[in-house]
Amino acid sequence: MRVTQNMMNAQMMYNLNRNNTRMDKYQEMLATSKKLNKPSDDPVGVGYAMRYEAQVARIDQYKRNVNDGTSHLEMTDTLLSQVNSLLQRANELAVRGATESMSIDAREAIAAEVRHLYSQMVTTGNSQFNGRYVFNGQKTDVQPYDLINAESSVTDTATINYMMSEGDSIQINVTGNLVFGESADPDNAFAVLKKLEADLLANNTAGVNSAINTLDSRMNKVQQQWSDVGARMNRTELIGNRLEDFDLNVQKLLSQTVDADIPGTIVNLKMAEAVQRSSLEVGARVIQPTLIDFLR
Amino acid sequence: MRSTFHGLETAKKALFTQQAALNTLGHNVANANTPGYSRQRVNMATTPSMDYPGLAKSTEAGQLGTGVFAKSIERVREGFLDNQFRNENKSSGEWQARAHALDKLQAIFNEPSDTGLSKVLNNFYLSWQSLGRDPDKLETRAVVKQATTDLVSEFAKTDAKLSELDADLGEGIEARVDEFNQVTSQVRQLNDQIRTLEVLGDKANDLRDRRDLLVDQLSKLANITVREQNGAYNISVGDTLVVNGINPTVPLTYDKVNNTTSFPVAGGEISGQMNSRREYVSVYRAQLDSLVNGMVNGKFDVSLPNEYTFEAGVTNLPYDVKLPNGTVMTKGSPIAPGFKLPKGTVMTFNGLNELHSFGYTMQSPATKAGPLFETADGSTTFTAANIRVAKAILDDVRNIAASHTTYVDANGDTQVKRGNGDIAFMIGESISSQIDFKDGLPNNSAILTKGTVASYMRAMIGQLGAQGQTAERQVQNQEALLNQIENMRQSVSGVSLDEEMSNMIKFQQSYSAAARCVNTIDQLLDTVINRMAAN
Repeated sequence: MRVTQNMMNAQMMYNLNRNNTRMDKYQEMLATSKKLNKPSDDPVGVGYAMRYEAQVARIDQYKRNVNDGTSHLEMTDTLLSQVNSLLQRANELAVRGATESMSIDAREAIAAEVRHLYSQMVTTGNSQFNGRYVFNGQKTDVQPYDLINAESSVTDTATINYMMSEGDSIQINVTGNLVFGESADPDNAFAVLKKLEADLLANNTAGVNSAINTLDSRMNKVQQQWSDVGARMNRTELIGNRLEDFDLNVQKLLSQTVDADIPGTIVNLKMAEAVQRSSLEVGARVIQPTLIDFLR
Repeated sequence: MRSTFHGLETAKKALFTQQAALNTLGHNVANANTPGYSRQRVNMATTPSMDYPGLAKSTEAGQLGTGVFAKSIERVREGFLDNQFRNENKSSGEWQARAHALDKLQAIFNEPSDTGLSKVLNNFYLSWQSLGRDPDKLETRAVVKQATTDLVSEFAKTDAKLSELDADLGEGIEARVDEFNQVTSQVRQLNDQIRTLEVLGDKANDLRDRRDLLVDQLSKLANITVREQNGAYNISVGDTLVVNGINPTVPLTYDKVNNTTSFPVAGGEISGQMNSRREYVSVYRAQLDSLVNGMVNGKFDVSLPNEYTFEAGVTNLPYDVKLPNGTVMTKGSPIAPGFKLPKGTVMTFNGLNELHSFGYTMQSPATKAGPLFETADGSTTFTAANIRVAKAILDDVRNIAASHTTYVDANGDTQVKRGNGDIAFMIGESISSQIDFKDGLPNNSAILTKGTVASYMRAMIGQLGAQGQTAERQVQNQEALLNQIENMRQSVSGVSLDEEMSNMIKFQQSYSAAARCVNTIDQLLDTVINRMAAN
């Protein structure tokens, strides 16, 4: 084949251009630390990358749901423990007040404490978390218990559920009627305390004695709700842990799909550089001399 | 009987011919870098030798040479390689145009990235999960409004960029069509000049080179075929004879609106750009529009995160539902007052708008929510260009629906249960719902008949990536092929300076030798004329 100077020149340009393209590719991979910079780099990989990225964002959102739900449940847990100790204290006072030989002064002192327990119980029933009433179901903007007639207040019975993971919702509230009792219940916490106070003042020992039983029955129901909250907290924690594991796995998959192998890319870039350098050197040798240089 | 001055005449012819060769060589060297130039060569031939047979033929030993003459000056070129080059150049032009358009499309969709459409789509759905947690907070409502506005403007931006690209391509085609017409009329002119010159028997080498270069240029623009007839090139595109000798050329015209040309063009840059408009840009625009309409109006299932009780006035089921125990109830079935759907019931909605309208706003007294999106032009079909966030929501974030339940308060007014975030959770969860992109919607060009929004995006981007990869590979292949053919052409037609220099020495030596012959004959004649005279 007949080879002319221009052919060698063109061929060198073509090859140099290809070398530059290759170096540019490695350069971009190193600068972005990604091997996937546009869909045509890897049409299949880009689909996976998009899927993993969406999953990471969703897991993140579910983790926030879990965190919020957990703090809501923790708040409820604390409040239920308060209600339980208030009832326990009322029980102790009822036991003490049931003694017939007790002086009027002492009974009045006990009655005063029971009244205090009542208002404490109403305050607990009207507790807010994050600006929302905890015990009024979905009517979070409405105060559930009336300070004077808390025993006849009717609360919303609807539950609030948070999505904790795909298709999995968990109830994060406890409605007031389950904790303090329905308005007509004989063991309605507020009604019991009110009656206990009245019986103490009226020296109705039989009434005070019966209060001990109703308080016991209320405490049982509160504890039932309390352990239910505990169980839901456990489940939420479990889901949270699972989300963390899942997150880690997906992040790893995402990184494998998208991230450039930095050491490998550097080695490739160095090789491309070496090729480029030698082709430039060869080019300089080949292009320069012609017969003209030797004709005198 | 030979002439006394025969030798002088022979040497003179040699001088002239070697000089002509040297001149042509100078022309080659001068044009070594001229695009399209093919090296020229002087065809030397001997002049007729003496004597011709005849009665007057001398008795001397016969057939004495009379010297050399330059028979013709020819360019060295291979028509076969030209055809090959033009054929590959056509494909190269087509794929370059396609790769260019696909590159721009990839930049417009900008995936994978932290700012692309799929990210904005994700953010939109995820913002509803926050609203589900805090349905009564104005700040989470503002976040949802922002995410929804972002989504709508991202759709609009993408569509505007696609339409810009479409317009750019249209203008590009117009420019190419102009170029095509100019080049064909130049070829016609050259046909005329070449014919005039060649009638006299010479070869119009340089004009032919120029014409071939123009045809190379044409071959990148369109699928041309060239036939030479009496020195003129007849060029056709498909069945249309565009250049016919020296007759007026047939101009190509382009209709930008309908993306059609006056006669079919099936290769080269013009066709590549037209195909890019037709097969890529308008397809992706239509697919984006179908995605938008599917999101807003397409049927999908989502499960209730909590139980739901129908209001007493509702006597017929407003949606298709599937209870957790597997019972399927179709829309319109009669239901008892206060009918309850348990948690986990799968409900079917015709798009996000219907799901949003299922809920109540945060206004007091309770108001049924309107649609989430509306169109700028009032049409019922949503597109990336006409979709807007409902004006009521832009005016007041309270009009976003998060809750689906109401109660009657002490004053007898209906109020929304503000702690209920079920609608928000359902919208948030519908990110993984399979949407019917075709079923129940007007005829459209959705890339998937059924799938999640994310899978729709993935299908689009995956298709774009595959097309881009093919185009890039084709461009590289064509480049390599063209490079190889061009090399072969250069091998035949290119000027080699080494070759020219060694030829130069050859011709120079011949010239010197011929001059020496003149000198010698001069001396011979000197002997005869001056020294042989009688003293």
